[in-house]
Amino acid sequence: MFFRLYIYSLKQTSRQKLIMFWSLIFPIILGTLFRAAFGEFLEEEVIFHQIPVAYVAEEGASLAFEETLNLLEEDNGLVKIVRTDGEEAEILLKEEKVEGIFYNRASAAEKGNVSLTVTSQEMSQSILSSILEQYQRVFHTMGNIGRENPAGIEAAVKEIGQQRQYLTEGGITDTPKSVMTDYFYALIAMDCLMGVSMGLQIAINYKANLSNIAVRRVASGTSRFGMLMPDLAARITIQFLCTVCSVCYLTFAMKISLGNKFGLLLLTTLVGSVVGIFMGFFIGAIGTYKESLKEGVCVCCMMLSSFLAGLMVGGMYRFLERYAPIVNRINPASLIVKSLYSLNIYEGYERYTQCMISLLVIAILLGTGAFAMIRRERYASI
Amino acid sequence: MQVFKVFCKVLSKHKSSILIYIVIYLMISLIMSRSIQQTGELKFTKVSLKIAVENQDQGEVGKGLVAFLEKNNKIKEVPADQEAIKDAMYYQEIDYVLVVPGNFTEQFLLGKTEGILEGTAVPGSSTASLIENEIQQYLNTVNMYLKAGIDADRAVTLSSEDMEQQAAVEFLEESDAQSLPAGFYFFQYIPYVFLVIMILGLGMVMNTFRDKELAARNKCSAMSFFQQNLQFILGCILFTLGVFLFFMITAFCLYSDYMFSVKGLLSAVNALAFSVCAASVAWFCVQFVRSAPELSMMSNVISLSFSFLGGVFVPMDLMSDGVKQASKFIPSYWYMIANQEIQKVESLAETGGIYQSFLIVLLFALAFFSVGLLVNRMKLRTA
Repeated sequence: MFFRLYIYSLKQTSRQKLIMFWSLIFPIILGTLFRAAFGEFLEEEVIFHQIPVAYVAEEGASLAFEETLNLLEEDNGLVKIVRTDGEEAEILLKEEKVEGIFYNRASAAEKGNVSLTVTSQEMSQSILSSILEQYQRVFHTMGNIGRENPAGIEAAVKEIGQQRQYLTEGGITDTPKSVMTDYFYALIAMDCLMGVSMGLQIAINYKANLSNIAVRRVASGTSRFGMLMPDLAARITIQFLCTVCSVCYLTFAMKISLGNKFGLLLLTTLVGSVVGIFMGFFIGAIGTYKESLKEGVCVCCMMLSSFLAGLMVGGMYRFLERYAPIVNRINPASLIVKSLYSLNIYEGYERYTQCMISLLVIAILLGTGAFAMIRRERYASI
Repeated sequence: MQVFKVFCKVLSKHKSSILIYIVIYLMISLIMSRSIQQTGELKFTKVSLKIAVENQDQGEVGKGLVAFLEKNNKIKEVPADQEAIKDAMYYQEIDYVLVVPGNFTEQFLLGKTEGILEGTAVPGSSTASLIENEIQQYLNTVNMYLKAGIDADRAVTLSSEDMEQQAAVEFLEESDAQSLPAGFYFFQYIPYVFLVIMILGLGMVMNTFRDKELAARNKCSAMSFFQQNLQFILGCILFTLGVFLFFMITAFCLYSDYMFSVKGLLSAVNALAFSVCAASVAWFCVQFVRSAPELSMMSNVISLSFSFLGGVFVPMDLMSDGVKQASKFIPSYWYMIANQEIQKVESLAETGGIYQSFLIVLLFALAFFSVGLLVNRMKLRTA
């Protein structure tokens, strides 16, 4: 009987367009959106746009800074210099035609001759400020050398701009990981949890006040556990296949590196799918509330869980670890993200196994809870 | 006012699910604004990291380097073995591990510079690269002094001093210098939350009215079509205003200083304009939806895609030019532009550009409403 019911359940689920949309199409749409949003960051080499900056030099001001800027403009293409006077520069800055103004004064001001004026604190302004900072440091160094040992200046000048790599990467991991990968892990976690809608459907099929098939099932003499098993197995199969599809889409079509342990990645999504289905099953099994309410709770739980795992804002894990570490230990989506993370970063499997065990415990708790609620449920009237 | 009454009744029938959505999404937007505010405040200020340092070197350069790092960061002991290091990194107890080998100073003084230190950053951490940069710059400076013929002890001291040099960054106007108020971050997530709530809430009611048989019965009733629609629209306005007020009251309770300023007023107007737009997006979406589950699907797809492409979740700086051009066709983009502009405003006299964004958001509202109307008419004709 198991296989017959299993096949029927497979057919029935795969014909539900809406559920297939949630599990199959939605993650693909979201993955494409991610790709569009962080497109440039994922290409590894971030293409910095030339930053337009105004340069105002007083007469008699030191030429060293101007030379530095020229170098950055011609060789690196990092900045685009607009040479102008003070008033004009302010107008350009206000009209947002330049990102900042470098003032090079002849008389030494409190913090050195060169200053940067900006109107906001964005990425371009940070780059300009670090250019100035590096310049100030080298300028100070040269001043010191001039005082301590003027003969050595020439040798020191040769060192400016030399690229030296003092640091070697320590041997904790050799998998390169971009900050953005976490978003895709969170996406896979959400994809697994999308199973809530399928899980909810299973529960609805056993709630006699919510569906006709449940009325028949509740009245029948067959064991509920026996009817439930094939249902669960079929939904888990479909959910898992959908997740595999989106993982393949991310890896092969979107060319996002999710690590090289593909087999274990799939195992994680399988366990994640089980948790997703059981979560929906559990919510569906609670009380006699309306389907729309349960649907709402399901979507909210799924979204909240994925949000806490960093789907919408990066760095959630760190934030929660600081203020509410318990959330990271029990939130299914965070656990999925963390297991994928440890799978690709660390060589050993202890952390991975820890996460997987936590996930399985959650699944067992949800499943047992749901079955306890559905088991022997009787209706005085519907 | 029968139609209006029915509207309210349908709404109250779904009140529990709508309330769940409102509460959950309010929570999400509060947590989001909190966590983003923390990362946002780091700009232009020195980041202090937790660095585990193992200094096996007895020479001056090694000691100098550690002393330099100690000034702005928290130095910790390196955990005993490789596994303990991994654990500490996993739970974010340390951000960076630096190992200074025993012969570091010796090699450095001999002029060997490539790969003489071993550093490990927590994989995927964006702040760790800052510390690597600092180490590189510090050692470069020491190297310059050495090349200039200054002895190592003095070079280390002078380099430490040089690294204290900071860029003189000034702001054109005083208001630019203030870090963004907490209220700004609260308003940043409004587009996402409003879109979800409007599509779900209004969608549920609209969907009831679009039921084929109910619509047919309504059509042959004594009440004029105009009257029906007017009352229906009144209901929509009430719901939109209700959601808007709920969020504004929350904002008033949490960020009262911000809300009682010009910026707060403009932010509220911005949110109001967007709520109107979200309501008409809801009207547009309902045309393609038949059931409640389809509605929640639609609400998620629309709200997430508008938010990702409009720069609500991901800063627009990260997007490529092509995507940025495309996002101009999304109302949340203009909401975000206005939200950023508002932070630069000091008085109502300098708000020219912001009104333009408000207007564009309202035009989007009109566009979504009209296209929705068109689809509605076409469907009626084919029905």
